[in-house]
Amino acid sequence: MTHPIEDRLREAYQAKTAQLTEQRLDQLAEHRERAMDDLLDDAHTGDLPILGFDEVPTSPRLRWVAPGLAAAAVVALAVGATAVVANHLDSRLLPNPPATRVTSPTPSSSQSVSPSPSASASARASSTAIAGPGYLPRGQTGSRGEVPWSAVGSGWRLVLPSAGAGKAPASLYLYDPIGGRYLISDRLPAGADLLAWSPDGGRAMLRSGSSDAPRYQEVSLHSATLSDGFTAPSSSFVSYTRPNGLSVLLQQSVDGTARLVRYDTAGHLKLRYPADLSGVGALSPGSTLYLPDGGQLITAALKLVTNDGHLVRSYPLPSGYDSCTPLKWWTADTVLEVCLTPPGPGEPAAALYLQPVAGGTPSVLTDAAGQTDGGYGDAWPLSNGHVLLGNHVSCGISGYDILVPGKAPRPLRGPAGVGAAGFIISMAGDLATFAVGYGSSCGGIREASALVDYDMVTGQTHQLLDRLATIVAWPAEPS
Amino acid sequence: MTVSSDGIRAPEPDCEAGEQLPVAPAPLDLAALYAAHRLPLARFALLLVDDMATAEDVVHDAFIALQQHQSRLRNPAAAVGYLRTTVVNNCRSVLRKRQTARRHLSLVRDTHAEAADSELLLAATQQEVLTALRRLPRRQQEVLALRYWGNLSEAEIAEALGISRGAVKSNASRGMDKLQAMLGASR
Repeated sequence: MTHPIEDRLREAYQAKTAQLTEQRLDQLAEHRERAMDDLLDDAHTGDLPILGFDEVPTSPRLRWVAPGLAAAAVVALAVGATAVVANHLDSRLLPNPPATRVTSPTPSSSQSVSPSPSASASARASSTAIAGPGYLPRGQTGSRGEVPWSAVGSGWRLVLPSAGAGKAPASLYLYDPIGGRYLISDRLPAGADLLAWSPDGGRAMLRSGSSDAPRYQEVSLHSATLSDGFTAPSSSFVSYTRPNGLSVLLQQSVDGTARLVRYDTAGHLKLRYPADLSGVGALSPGSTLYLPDGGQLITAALKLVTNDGHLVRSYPLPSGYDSCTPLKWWTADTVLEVCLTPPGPGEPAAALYLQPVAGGTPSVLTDAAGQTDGGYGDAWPLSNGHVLLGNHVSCGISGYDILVPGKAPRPLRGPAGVGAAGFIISMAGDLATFAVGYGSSCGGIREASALVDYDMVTGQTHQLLDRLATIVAWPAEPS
Repeated sequence: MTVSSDGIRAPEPDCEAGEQLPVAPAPLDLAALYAAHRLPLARFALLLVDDMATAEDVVHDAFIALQQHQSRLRNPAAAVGYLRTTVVNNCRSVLRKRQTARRHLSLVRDTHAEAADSELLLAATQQEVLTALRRLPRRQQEVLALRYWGNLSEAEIAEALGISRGAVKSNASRGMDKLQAMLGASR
């Protein structure tokens, strides 16, 4: 005889467990191994003696000490530290999970400059650009039905060409790593902006309407179906949630205060994050970074916050700086942040720091001291171990340098024909897309004649488009 | 069966006495076991600890334990049962530590938040059932998960949890009745 609620129970179990897939397990295993590596790093070995806690003799005198040790052990155990270390000791004896393990360097806090970031992601993008399954020849356009979906990943880009001032429907293309493209839809709302690519790879978020009442709609990359979307007054897009992208984070004005808020993609407001955790100033895509499992995020306020809005930890500001904002994942365990000096007689100077997610002192990538033109405001890891540095010089002119480990930054020798007015609008692995402008003056590029792809490592250059476009790279997980 | 000071049943891979006697170790294909059982075990652990990272962790630990003790495993067919029991024990251990940590450090609880996407992947009715399940005693949760998700027999559940078949039956019955009461008899 079956119980009346048996079916409901089975259904709930199935739904819950279906969320955990082989792929997710591999990601979790990889993340755990990295955490173990980090724990066993030199900088952390001071914590390891806690493993011997069980061996502490419990003589009557020592029992008075034990509660203190126990409290420390509780904290360590709560974050899984000891389990992690114990696992590490044996994990190499176990069968490896099927996923390819990415070995990225884990810079310790003692390193002053760590220009050896997650080159693996870049390397993947770069290597896929050499040859790949089903890629179209450069410049050729295929249909949505021809997209080799199983190959879509690192190095692929979504491109929404500028439609000019007319009211023609917007078009969205999916570009493969070697420059072939697939038309996803040519019937998107006129004037729509491309905001983001969902972490599951199947959707793109668009914004249309007025800035006071922007409308957020998703287009399915597989079917070109446009969702009804929703309108969120006085808001700007910040990020998809992870791991699937079933919700979005927006910055929204709430009672005159900028707050980080979360809506599901159907437009239901799910959470307003506390104001002190949201971050101050204008948030932008990238200024809030999700951890891969989506349970925690680093906000623009430089705080690690749980998905449900509780503070886990605050990250310290480097000495001499007034504020810092996260920019991107540098490695699986480290975030690149840009920090500004306090307001003074001149313009604030920017510096780039690498902040370990687990906490601790950030290490410097580029210091503001001695920098001209306000310092570097962004950086991108390249597959050859070098780092591309970017700064805004003046009048819309951007400057780019290359940082080679152990050396002073040197100016980037950019693609031929781009000129000083060109600037990077997208990076996908080693591939930088430059907007080539002319008629430049204070206020930026007036007109753009083309978009040019430039491989930072091989030096190859190709024209991508004959006009401006918005480009969004594949939403890779931090690696 | 041995019981440690904290009440966790120590895993006994072969469920037989006389382990000190020399026994030729049975060949155990750990890689095949890992490939076949990692995901189901992790999903089972997820039902108990409600956190994917921890579920992955406890299953990893279970395989390590099996690897370390495989020489004591007389019957390779018992390996899955051993893993299942170890997962239950590890989950209990995690829950106990989490509970202790909550008493000492209020922030710890919050670091276990699930992703926003997780709740959206579940229908409201499913969410309701899972929330009600979490309010059941731990033993009842284990029995129900093994029975209605793992589709194990009473005997297998009894072996995995180290309890009698009668206890399995009564825990399942009480658990289901409480669930029904919480969810509403009309449904």
